[in-house]
Amino acid sequence: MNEEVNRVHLSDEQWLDLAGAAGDAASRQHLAECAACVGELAGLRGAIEQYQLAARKSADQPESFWLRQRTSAVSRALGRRAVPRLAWMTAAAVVTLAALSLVRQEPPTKPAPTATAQTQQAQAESDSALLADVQRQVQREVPEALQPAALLVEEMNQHADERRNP
Amino acid sequence: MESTLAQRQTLRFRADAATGIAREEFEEIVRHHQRRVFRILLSLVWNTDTAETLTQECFLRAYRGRADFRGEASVGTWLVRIAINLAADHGRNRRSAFWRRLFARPRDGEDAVAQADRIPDPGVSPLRQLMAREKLEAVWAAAKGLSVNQRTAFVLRFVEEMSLEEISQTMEVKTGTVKSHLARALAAVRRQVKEKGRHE
Repeated sequence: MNEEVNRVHLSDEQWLDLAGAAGDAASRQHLAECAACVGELAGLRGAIEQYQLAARKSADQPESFWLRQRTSAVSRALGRRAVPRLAWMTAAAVVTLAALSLVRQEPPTKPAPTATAQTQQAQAESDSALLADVQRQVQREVPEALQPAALLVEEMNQHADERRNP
Repeated sequence: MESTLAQRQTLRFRADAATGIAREEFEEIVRHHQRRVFRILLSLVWNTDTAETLTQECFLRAYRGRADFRGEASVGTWLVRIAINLAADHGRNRRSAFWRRLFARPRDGEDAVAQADRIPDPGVSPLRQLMAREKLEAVWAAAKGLSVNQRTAFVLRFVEEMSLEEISQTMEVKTGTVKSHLARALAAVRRQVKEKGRHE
């Protein structure tokens, strides 16, 4: 009993070595003789193992989670820089082109009022001629393509009338 | 294989500071490190949404600050460094928000305690839900009482299984300081495990 009370147990540094590895020779020697420290070490290692397991398990995520995270991280890092630069370049190009076209473009010449009136009149005449032609075509008894045949028939009828009424 | 990929990414990232980086290359870096960064952040902030937001922020900061990356550490170490700084900032912001709310004039008869209650409880995270068992409760209870540096060192050592040197490089502190943080964290966990053991 007195031996147990007076026993010098492991130091904090020795516990640290033992928790993650085999420990030094002195620690191992102590463990070979001290059941209390063996029990405590088993409890400590078990607790740490459970903690590690829980930490790793809780960080387990579906592949979609990692993909989303990766896409977002990459977009935030690279996307935000690339897009504005491109946008600025495009905007600058558009503004430059617009300015150049404004400088080079001459003011548009308005057509003279008389010229406009003449154009309108010519258009009206052309329309009237077209309508008249259509009217003639409609009123014609025989289509234009059969006009020679119509003349022949007319002549034959004329001859027949002359024979009947000499 | 792993180290070759890390070296390639390190070289590419360094070169990129001057020449720019292709979308595919940056995406490959994100793909390679996103799970680890997210896991570390989740272990530090205990909230899935916050961890996701901070993970994205981590990659954004890495990209924007790639000119500062000198290649002394790997891209992975550098990203984890950014992540733990983000988690620390987040913790500070939460604490300052707590005090602001606590001392703000109560609105519509609402008392300060009710306002403080609105601070998100990390206990509702999936990690917390998994900690139903006694041993997990012990580590959880201990982790709650740790300082940011102690908790960070603990997560990097016992969740990520990083060596003391890697942790030292990531946290930008001496190996002795890492040992000190870890020893204190582990002592707290041991106390909690013992306590739980007594109640069983």
